[in-house]
Amino acid sequence: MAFLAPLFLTLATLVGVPLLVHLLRRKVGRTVDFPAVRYLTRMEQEHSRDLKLRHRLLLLLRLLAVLALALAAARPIAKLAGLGHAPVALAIVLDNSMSTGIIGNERSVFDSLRADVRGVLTDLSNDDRAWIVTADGRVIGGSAASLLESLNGLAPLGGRGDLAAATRRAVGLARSGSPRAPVVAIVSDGQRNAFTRDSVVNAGAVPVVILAHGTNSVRNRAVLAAAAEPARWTPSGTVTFAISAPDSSEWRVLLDGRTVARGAVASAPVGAPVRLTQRLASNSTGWVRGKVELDADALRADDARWFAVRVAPPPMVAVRQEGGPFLSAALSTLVDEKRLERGAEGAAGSVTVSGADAAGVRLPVLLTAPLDPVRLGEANRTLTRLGIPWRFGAIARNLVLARAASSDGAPLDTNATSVSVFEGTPVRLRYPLVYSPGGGAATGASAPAMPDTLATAGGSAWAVAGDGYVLIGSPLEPDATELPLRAAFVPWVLEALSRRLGEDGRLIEAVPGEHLAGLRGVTGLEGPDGKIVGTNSDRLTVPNQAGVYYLRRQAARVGALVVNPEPEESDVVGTGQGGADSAVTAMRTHITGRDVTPATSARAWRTLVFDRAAGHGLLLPLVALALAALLAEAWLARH
Amino acid sequence: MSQPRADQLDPTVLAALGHLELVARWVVEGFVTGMHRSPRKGFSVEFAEHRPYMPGDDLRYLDWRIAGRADRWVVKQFEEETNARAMLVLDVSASMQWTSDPARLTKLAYAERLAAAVALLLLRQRDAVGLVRFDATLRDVVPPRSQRTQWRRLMAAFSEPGGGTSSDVAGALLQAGRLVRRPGFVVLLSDLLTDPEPVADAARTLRARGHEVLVLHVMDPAERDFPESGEARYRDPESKIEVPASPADVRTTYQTTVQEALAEWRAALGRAGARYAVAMTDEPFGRPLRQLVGVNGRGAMI
Repeated sequence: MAFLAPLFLTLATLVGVPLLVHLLRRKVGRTVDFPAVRYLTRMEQEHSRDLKLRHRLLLLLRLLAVLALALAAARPIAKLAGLGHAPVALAIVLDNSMSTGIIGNERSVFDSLRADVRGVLTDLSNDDRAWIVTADGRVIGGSAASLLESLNGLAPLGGRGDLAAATRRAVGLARSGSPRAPVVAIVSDGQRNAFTRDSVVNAGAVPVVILAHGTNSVRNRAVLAAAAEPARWTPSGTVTFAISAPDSSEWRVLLDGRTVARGAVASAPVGAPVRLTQRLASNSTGWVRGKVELDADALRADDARWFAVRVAPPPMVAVRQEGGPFLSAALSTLVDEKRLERGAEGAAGSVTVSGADAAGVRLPVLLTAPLDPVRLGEANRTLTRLGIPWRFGAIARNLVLARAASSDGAPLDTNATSVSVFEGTPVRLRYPLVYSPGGGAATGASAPAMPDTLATAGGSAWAVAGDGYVLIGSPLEPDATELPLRAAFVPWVLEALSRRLGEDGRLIEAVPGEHLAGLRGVTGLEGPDGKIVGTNSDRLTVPNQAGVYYLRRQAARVGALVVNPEPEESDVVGTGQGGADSAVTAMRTHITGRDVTPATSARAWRTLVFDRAAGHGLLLPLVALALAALLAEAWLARH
Repeated sequence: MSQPRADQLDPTVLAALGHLELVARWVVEGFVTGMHRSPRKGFSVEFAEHRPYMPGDDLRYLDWRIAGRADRWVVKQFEEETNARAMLVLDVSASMQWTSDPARLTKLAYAERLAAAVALLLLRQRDAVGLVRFDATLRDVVPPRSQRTQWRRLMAAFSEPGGGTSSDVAGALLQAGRLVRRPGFVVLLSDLLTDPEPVADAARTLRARGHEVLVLHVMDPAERDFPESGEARYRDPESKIEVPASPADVRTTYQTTVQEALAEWRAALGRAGARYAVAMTDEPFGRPLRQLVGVNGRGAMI
């Protein structure tokens, strides 16, 4: 037997009161004159046996009443067969990942999962505590009635979510409900990759009951990837996309809702999708929403994939000789390809590319370190004049490898241009960049890892960027660094000129529910429906619905956030009824604990959940017992 | 509108209105008013006086001649020509001086007023009335007389203190019997917290001498009901014996025991030829008075 409020057990000491009164009856201090004592004496003589029995019965009933009330106050839980369940702290993990939106048997899998949860919630008693934790980490708590109401408002996510994190959180919640019996109940569509490969949840002593509620005959078509190249269309570019389909399928590419290309693909499994590239041109300018879509199937959420592209004239650039021949050659190539236009230095929208030691340059600039160390002072004076909070430090001539930096400590995307151009680049001559927001060069102090550090070399900042400037801590010469020889150098220069120094802004690709940081200057997020949601900091949680969202700085669009589901979520193998068991088995490998039990049906799941809390709250029976004892005592005293 | 009859009033209210003598007079007046018939119809009775006719009076006793001559409605009242002797035996032990409620009369106060009313009633009939007050011994003895001064003597005796630690009821009865030389009435007013057999034997002895023995068992309602007063040690004011009890637990058994004891008294005294009645100190004096004087029946005083 367990007690929900064991402190109240101390009330049981009150049983001593009637006992003491009974034992000390003959030592009662109060004396009352009563002439008819002879009747009392005679009564005791004639009815002593009855009176003794009566006294003992009264004592017993009083003791019973006090004891029952004390026990009831302590909220005991006892294992009584067939009398319901003990109070549970039940955390239900409801898988609402994108794949649960699949339609089967004329209803979505998510509706089935929700019905399963609803069944469990209706079995809860007032003594239970319950939470619903969804795959996106949302926690809903409250009474069974409020949970049922909240359940109706839930919908499948636009992405995968994180079922492992949700389970981890559910375990913590169930533990917090002590002394109720903690139980975690997971209901999922049984997708084989519901848990990411390396995720492990240790449930410890908390029982976990898993139900996979799949559907039959799943044939899913999906757009697994879609990306526009280059970053700025002038006004043409290419869209590359990947499609998986169990049978032939038609595809369409749309720009701002207008179909600009269409075609068909033969069958392609998820593991080997068909990759297509279309050269397109846009009639619109500015940010353009793009979408690659397929005909509707059972899982609608992955039938379309979004991309965004900036359509604008090529960026203008003015090149000075101090930037070095390699930079000049790279820019000439881009101008020849009409990706850039030459502009006059100081003209509106024109970016100046130069060595930092050049005189009279103005923002925006792409600056490189001077080749001649003698020019270092002149270079630092230029930085001071331009208000750039960095200074060139003392020259270093040892060979080091550059490292691409992450602004928020997140793992690097090695496919990104800004990463591939810097990561592992040999640097032989460099001027470590010193962060100096006050103006003077803080010699000897290492630069802190600032958010606009693009790359480091030898532990110091080597390439940095900020408002209106990109700064590289070496001259772009092969003797100093191999950066201008790298394949990604020219695309990086183009990106730097158009995105960092031009007006293109940022293009961020993310999955639903992802947390983004480093969004300085962003004041709002404009949704696909045109509604703008304000942001309070430089951090943002990516919306759960896929689409193209624009980053706003007041009235201006300063970038695009493209939200698409994870491609793995389109792999619905395992959601079939037969595959559900194997999926549960796979899930068990991700959840360790003393009691991790799969359920074969919704009914079995409910039974297993409450079996983990075998027992029954004895509050009402004990109160009833106390009342019965008091009534019997009153009756016996009266008669 | 007629006045309320004093013998039907709450004894506590009545006692609050006047002293013993006055209460006795009111009770007797009310009692006599309530007797609509002559107690001695057909026997040797003689005219005593007239009194105004009151609704309910028997029209047989209306004096038609006066009604015819003076147009006044009066009834004739008669006096009995008897010389009966009655001895009132009053228990004044400590137990009689107890009441469960300070607002209520003690058993002794109740019995005194009742005894005074009986005495007044008998003295008005020119009967001889005496009084014995006793506890463990005889405290006061007023021999029976029918003189007008007897009432004063009786009143003086009632004012004497009592309060002995025990009561010898049987002894007092026998002593009283000896004081009434000719067959008469011996009226015992006591709470009878003693054994019935000696009292019954004494009553039997008195009966053998030709006396009518009347026993009024005076009880406080609390002695009959044992109401809730909490867990306590209950002490006999005479013997000082203490018994712990909780009224809530034993009330029913106690009440059964009391009823058994009263039944024993009734049976024992009945076998001895004595009349027995119970008077509660919260009931009007009229009822026990009527039981004592036994209006118009065997052994009746009036």
